[in-house]
Amino acid sequence: MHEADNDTARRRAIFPRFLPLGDSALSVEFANEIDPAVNASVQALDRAIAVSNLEGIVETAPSFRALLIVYEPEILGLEELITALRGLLAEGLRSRSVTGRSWTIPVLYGAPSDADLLEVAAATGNSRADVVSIHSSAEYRVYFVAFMPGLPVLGGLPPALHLPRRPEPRQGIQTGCVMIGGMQGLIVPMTMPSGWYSLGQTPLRAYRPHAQDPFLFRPGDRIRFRPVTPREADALAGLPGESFMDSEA
Amino acid sequence: MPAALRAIAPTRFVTVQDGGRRGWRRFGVAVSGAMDRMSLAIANALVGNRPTEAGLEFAHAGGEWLVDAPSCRIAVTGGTFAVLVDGVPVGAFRSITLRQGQRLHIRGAPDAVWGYLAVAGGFDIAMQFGSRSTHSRTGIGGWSGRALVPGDALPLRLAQSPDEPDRTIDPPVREAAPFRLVLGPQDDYFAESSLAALVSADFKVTHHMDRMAYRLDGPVLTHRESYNIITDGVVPGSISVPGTGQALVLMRDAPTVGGYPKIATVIESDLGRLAQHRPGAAISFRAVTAIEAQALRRRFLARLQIIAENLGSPRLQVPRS
Repeated sequence: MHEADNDTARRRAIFPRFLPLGDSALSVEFANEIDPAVNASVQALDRAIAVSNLEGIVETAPSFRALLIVYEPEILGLEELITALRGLLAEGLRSRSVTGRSWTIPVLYGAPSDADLLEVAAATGNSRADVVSIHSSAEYRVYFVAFMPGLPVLGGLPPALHLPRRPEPRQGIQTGCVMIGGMQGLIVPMTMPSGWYSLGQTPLRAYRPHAQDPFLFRPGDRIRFRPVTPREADALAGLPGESFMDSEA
Repeated sequence: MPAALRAIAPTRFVTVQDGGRRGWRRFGVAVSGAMDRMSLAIANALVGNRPTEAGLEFAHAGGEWLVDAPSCRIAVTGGTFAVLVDGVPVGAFRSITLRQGQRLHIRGAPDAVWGYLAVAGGFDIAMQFGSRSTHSRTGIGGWSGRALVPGDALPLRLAQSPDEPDRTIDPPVREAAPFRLVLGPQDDYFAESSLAALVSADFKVTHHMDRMAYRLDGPVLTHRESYNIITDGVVPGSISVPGTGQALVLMRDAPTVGGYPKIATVIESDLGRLAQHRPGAAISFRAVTAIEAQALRRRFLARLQIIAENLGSPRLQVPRS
């Protein structure tokens, strides 16, 4: 195929696309963009598969615009799987939409260091207080949980705070850091490297390895951030994560 | 004191590994598990365990261990590692029953990277997220979520090994054939010439290789436009290509998602064989369809099954692939 044709093929691709990853995984791509409605489709298919009891599915994992499906081809062949998925899609995903739970997460803005917050303020032409106010007035949606255990990737960052990531990741970003990068947000579940900007820190733990439910957030959950004082952050530090949940799905 | 295998002088990257995790990727938990599943299965078969029982995985050499139990049957596989009991060479690919206080040394092998030490009955350690596999980077599973250090004592399920004859197996012949891959999911991000190079050129394993990924040296794989994709799911075997154009084969401990285009996926049945290649080794790839890959996977699983069914016999056979 000529290269130009190949390029055109991707642009004109008809979604969803079914793309194998080797012998036992399939990516269902819904679009080539980051968009809440696209992600809602990903989550809806995820949900539809979960309730279908389709035999041979090992696990599914949503991301921005694609659902990864790991399956056992000895039980469910590739063609059978695609047929089954087309069936689920034809039934319509609207009724499967994931409402998610709603959370208000306390954030000590400027902790553990003010540096990134000031950098974001300068780069976006806002005051420090504006950045805090913009960030804490939006509602975010958990697009998916990935990369590290319990790490929620959040959509819904107001455009005023969109900022390219750093060219190089920095090591040792602390647990609880509330970060932004590109058009997204995240909450750091355990010390990790990141090229994003940290606006503050929450006393809440997104990953609690020994808890009954180790992963606080699920795809589809809705999150708001609330600025707190150092004293308040200290007082909240011991509370179970569930106490910050406003409503069940 | 409970029966244990004590780490006297373990090498740096000895971890507990089994068949890996299923069902936790959606929460960001990596798959993990043995880099070379076939070798772990053979080690387990030699000591009478099921194929995916947790054993110790080591890199290049295993170091020094002490048996603190009335008896403990062990087997080492993965390569022709020099195995010594109280200084006496006994060799790999066989089971050996060790007595209280005996010392086990596992030295290097010329033909492998990853070695496996299985103990009869397995290790008495807890599962985390359905598996005993260690993911060191996130502290999940295995022994306190980390590689073993001197002084660690791994509890044994059996204080006394079953009274059975020891077993041997011929070291499996490792094929030199190209590694099979399925193109995509983002093969359309690459120039035609790069797709052709992927399945025709020689690549070399570099020193940048660990349980997360192997970086390969070879022809630069050129992106048609961007080397960023919208971050999506990856699997062990995904060949991810960052802006440098150098292929990165993702391995068992890779994170659940990635932001670089994935030109292809090495098939499950060839990934363990690839993992056993040392830095400097030349490797090449051949494309198969997903359907062909599934037939190859069935054959691989059948081989694992035959090994498991051979347990009763003192001399095991590994069917050729």
